Amino acid sequence: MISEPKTGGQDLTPDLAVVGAGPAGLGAAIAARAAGLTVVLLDDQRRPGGQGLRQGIGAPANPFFARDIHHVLADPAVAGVDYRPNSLVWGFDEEGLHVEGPEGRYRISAKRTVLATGASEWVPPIPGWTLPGVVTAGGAQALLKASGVAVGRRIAIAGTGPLLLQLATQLLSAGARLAGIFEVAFFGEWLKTASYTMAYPPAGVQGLLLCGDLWRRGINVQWGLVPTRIVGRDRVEGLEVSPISPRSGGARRIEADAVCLSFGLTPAYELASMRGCRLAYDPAAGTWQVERDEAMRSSLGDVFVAGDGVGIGGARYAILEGQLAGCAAAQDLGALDTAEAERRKRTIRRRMNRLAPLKRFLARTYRYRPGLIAGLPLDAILCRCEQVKVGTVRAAIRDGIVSPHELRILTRVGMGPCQGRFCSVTAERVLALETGRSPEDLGISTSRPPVRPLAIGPEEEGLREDAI
Amino acid sequence: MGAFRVRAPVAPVTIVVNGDSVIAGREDTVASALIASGRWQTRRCPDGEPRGPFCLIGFCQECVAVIDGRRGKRACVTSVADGMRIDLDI
Repeated sequence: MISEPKTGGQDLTPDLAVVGAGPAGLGAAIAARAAGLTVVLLDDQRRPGGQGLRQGIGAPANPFFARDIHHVLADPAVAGVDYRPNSLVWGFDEEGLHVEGPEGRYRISAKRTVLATGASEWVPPIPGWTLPGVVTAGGAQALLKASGVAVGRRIAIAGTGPLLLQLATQLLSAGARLAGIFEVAFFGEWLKTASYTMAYPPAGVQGLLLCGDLWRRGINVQWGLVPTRIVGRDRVEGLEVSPISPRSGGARRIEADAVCLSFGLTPAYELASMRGCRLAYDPAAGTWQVERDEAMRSSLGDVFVAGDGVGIGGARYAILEGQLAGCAAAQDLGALDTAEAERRKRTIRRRMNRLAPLKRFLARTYRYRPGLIAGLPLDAILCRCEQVKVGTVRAAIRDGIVSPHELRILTRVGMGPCQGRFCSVTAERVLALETGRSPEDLGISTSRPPVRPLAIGPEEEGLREDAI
Repeated sequence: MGAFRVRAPVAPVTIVVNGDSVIAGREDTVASALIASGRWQTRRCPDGEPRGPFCLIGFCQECVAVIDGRRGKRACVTSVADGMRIDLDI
């Protein structure tokens, strides 16, 4: 299915290629450029900032977020970086990065590469989660901040973590009403986890302000509840929530015209995996992550990985990881001498240490909760693209499937256009639970190019994206 | 009921969705313009099950549409432009 590079896109050979213009990618690109490297910064999105530093229309810059990033957010090109938005990196091999962008298809063979590909939200396959009107909380934020559109007038927010509260205040300020905020954690547990942030005052204060804002508006979070079914015919009409401990009563139905879900994040490691970087399983997070050393270097010497695409640390932490990778790349290529590079890296690490409580908070909040997988009804759709149900996957496993790869071939889980981004992790978790084996034993679903579908067909001639 | 614009579109443009004219703002993606106009459904599965934008950040592929004659374009990462033609398979 993969065709040769088209004419129009010129192959490039910069010192450094950075994939992803979110916090980590911007951090890496700016640090490396400041040290004197030539840098190409590729991003799949229309605007720089990724999800963590998304720019709103007329929204004030968040004072808690790295000031040093703001001046290049409007246009990374001001920092001297060759910034290329709307550019999809669909493959990564020994020849370099394979790109499809406004210029056409081309290849980038850089001396060093930083993968800062971010993460996408993990959502358990709740029956009805495929209905139009169900979105990820991050998606609802993107819609509101970038385009000024609120997802609904009576919105249910469910899942776990700080994003629920953040999204709630943003939607309320925009004039939407909430059907409720349903948090999986109990209040005591939530409070204990939230207290981690107090060791890093800016985050603690931000959290308190959020809670204060909701309290002033008279919004109560409902604790210990998990969404068990989303109902509606052709679109969302309501949400069913159930107590996480069955002793606390039965399911309750809430009317809503939109449902926003947030349960945690899955690092986007496809490009690293495809290139051959070693991955390691993190049992606490319940996801695979790219192995890397203190300087963010992967098992391949010329490939660095930084940001939420590796392990969830949030935007502030991601910027620093990116900067670390950018400095290390500059040191590799002789743009920084050892003493200067070590001095810069020490400064960055000191800042990272200050953020450690925040990282612990996120790790605890977004830890893997097997309970969300164990009780899934058989009729729930696990793989959205191929419409594979939980029951089909369970049956295949009971018939003797012992690896994610076999599961994929037999049931078509993860074979659709999203390439398993939203279901591979779930399928791996179901497989581990059903077989009683650890994900390390079972292995990982292989990532193959293209990581996202390419436009194939006669209309791709020339790929004139600038006409759009 | 449903999705709404927090403010009136800046520098409005007109896009054409399955033959209907839809007003959109300069900051809109195709997906946000569709949602703001009440068009949640972007595709249907082979068995007829309706689907709409889900992740809105370019990963899930639920919002792919034919945009200006090009198949497989993700509505959530494509900016609108005046006169843009969007064909949804619904």
